[in-house]
Amino acid sequence: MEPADRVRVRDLDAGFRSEYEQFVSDHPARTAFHRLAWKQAIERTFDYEPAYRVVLNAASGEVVGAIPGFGIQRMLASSHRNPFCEYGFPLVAEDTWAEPVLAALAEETNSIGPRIIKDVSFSGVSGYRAAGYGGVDTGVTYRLPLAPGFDRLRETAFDPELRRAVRQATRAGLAFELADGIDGFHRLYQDTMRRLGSPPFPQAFFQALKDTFQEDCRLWMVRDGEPVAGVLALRTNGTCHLLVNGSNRDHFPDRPNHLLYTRVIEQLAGTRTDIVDFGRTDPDSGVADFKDLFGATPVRLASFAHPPDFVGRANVSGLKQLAPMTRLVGPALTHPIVGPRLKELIAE
Amino acid sequence: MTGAAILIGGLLVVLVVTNLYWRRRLAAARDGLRHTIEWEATGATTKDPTGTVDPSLQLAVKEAAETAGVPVEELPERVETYEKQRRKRGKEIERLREAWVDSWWAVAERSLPRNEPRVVTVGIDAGGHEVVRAFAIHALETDDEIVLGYDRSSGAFAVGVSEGFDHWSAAEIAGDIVEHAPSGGGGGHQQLATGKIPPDAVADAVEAVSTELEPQVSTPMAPAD
Repeated sequence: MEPADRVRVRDLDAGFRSEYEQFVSDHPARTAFHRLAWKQAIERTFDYEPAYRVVLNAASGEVVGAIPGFGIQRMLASSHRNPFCEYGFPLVAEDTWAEPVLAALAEETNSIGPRIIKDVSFSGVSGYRAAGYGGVDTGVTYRLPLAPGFDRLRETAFDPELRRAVRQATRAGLAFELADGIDGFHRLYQDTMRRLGSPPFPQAFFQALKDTFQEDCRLWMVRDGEPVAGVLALRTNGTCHLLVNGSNRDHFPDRPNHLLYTRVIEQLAGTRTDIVDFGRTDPDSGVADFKDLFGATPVRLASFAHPPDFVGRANVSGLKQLAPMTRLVGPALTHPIVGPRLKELIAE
Repeated sequence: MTGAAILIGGLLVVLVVTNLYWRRRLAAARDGLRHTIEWEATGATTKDPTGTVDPSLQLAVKEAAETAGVPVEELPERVETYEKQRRKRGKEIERLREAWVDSWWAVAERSLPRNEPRVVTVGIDAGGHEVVRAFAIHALETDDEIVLGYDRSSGAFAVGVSEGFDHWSAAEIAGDIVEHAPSGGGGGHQQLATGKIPPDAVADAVEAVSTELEPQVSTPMAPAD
């Protein structure tokens, strides 16, 4: 029997919603991006075809795997992936070998098109080689464990430069808060994207995340009267994913981002949160240097494609190569109407 | 004729472009599969729930490397070198200790009674457990001797009893010494025992037990100091 024949792949929307939800909520490696709240937020905002799958043991019928994803149709480069995040790996039952699950998902690509699986080194999923997936490195995510407690982190992990910056921000009178509405934050975020020449998310997406994740979606802001920095975060399974950030460059001399992230870590260290995930970063960038200040650890990310010759579609460095061009056409890319459309097209 | 040439030329261009396209796809697949093999071979697929290292541990490693004066990557080799040096120094100290104790015994033997049972009490001002034990071991190399060694600075003491004295127990003598002190403990076996009591009580306690033993064994000897 071929590995793929040991399991059956079923569409979540074909009556397997509760099975998916239960399996994910019980799985120790689940992330915010495996939850149905993420699916609902994407569905409400973007025109993608949901491709969430439940994998069943062919003999017993029990759920042995679950994978999030959407069909993203582009004229020349369609694929199935979990968009706008780093984690799209299948959750596989702990006593189950992952290869049959991966093989069955690979077999499905014959009918639905290429699948891109975004994985991370701690997912525990292996078997990509045997199942015939091609891989590519996609950078690192920075993760900070909060187990030592905030005081010890500040003493041992935080860079002295960070401590100085926080003192500077406090002296400048910047105020940190847990915010309710997203209006002010989205304007800040749009300004940031305009500065970076990168297409922004529509405001509706942030609102959808707030609605679907409810108390697990947090927005923290730093104000100097008006909002000067903010971060939107999703919390699941003891991990807080810092999803999107916005900041006003005019206030950079007062170090609002240093204060913002430090206070967020302080707040989370006193709650049920074990890890702060700063999100994917190019390890050679200035953003990586900023994340280094907190003593966060870089964790390797990779994407796997089936068929393997479609691995180019999983390679996000292609977008980086476009950077010089994006600066030229930045105003068009970040236009309030055009930008979100492009974001939907890029799906990253 | 011209039309045929254009047709052939066009077909050639299509052939070359198609060939290049598929070569590129093939190379992408090959690179992707190579990456997958490397990802799984390097143990990238762990089940560590955090995927991270405790930053205080990272800092400790960094500080250790700075103290050792080497880059973090060379820390394991440097620790191994230090460990080898430590073991070598330990052996050297042990050799010197034995040489010193042997020398002391060589001098002391000149004034000790020969060929008759004896109790020898050795008091030192520093050296701790290792040194007093080295003195007590002398009894194990003779036929009819009890050696009581003690260190005034640490309160450590040791008792050695020759094999020929099978009616004496080093462990029981150590117990007697502890009974003469306000606190402490000791233990061992028939021929060798060690213990520790408060430093300010050790000389009196050992001397008291020595005095009790002497009439039963032989003439005592003065302490080393």
